[in-house]
Amino acid sequence: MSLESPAVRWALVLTVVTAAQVSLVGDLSLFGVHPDLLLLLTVAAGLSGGPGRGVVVGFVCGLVADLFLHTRFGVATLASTLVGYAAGVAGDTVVRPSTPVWVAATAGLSAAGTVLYAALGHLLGSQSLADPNLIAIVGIVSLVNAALCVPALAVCRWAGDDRSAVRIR
Amino acid sequence: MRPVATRRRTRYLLVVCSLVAVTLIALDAGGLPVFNSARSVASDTASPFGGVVDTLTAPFRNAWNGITGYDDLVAENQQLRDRIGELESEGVLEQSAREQLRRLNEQLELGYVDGIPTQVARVSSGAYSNFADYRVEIDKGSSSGLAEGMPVVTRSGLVGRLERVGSSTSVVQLATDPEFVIGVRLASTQDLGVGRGAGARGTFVVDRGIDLEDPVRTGEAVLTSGLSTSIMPPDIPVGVVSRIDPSPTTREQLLEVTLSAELTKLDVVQVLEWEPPT
Repeated sequence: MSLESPAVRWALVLTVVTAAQVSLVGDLSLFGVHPDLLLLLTVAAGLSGGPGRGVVVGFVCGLVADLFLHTRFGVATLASTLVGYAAGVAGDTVVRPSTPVWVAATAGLSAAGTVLYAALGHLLGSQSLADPNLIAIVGIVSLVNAALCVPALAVCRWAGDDRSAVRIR
Repeated sequence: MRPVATRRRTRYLLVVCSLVAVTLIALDAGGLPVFNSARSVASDTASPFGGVVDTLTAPFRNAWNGITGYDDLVAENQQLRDRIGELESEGVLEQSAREQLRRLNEQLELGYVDGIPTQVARVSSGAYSNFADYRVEIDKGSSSGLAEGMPVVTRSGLVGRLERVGSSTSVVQLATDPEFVIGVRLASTQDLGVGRGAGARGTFVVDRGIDLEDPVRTGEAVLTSGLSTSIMPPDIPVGVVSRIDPSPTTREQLLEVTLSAELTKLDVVQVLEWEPPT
């Protein structure tokens, strides 16, 4: 067990992010909406490491989220997997990466991920799309994730050992 | 641009992960108990850790909540100042403390169910999701003798029922959940009906069983029916009728009920150690 291994680093990152989400971030709400760090991690992993990593990290983050949610098990997993893939594709299409581009991409993908989760939940009977706070939830989650995207991308590049990936691009 | 083989492998991975997720959804919809067990283990694991983090981060969270809830804080401070002024001017601080203790003890005694033992529990966490999921977590579980299906109440009335029970925590399905369905009885006429949570409206709706001819008025008390097959014991106050909508097509009246218990400000609840008939 060494931090040299990307698997160990990802496990560490996922544990810390989950602990922060469950025990800390849930209480830090803005207008009744709290940040979604697992969605941020999924988006950042996809943007920094491509669709493959986005899918894997999104799948694992979704599974973890499903453990703490009360909706149908698997809804967050499916939404997060699809968002991770979309983030990877979006990251691959960026020709000239810059901070504003990453911020805008994170905001857009976070909004899409939140709406997708609500839509899937709604299809399964949870009425999420009819939630009166939907716009506030999408807006605040997107804004907070956009604000945190630079450190999140740095963490994902560290966890994924992305020096080689950067060279390929 | 990534190589074609890599892109193909990624799409394959996406399909596999998506299919696994869909399978999980289908299995959970089919009622496979392993998911509830996994969630209970996750809650039990996070519970002590959350307590430590809560303690360590309390100053930061308090500061944040002070900033984001500044208006509420100002109003609350004003109310407290007014109250202190009243108490000081009357010179009854000691009497007041005794009175508050008496009321607190009184709060722990339910007036509407006799002979059913209760467990007092604290609401340890609200929803993890930003979307309304009509669930809260309490800090007691099977190690305290709790079991799935037990009613959860406050002194004011019905809160919900235990949906999932871990060893040290449990999840309460609130009475506002549209999937929370119980038999009810109108206090004055003893008419029986069926009601469910009204979801985002935060109320309860009796939508079956009350005929157009049945006399109902706003303010009417609604209680649990307590029929032999009911998932609730009889006579727990649900709320009072706040709106009546006659439906000529179904020949029934739809009653909107304002819940007696304030579900948005739950702190301490009581679990009735009563299990529904199987």
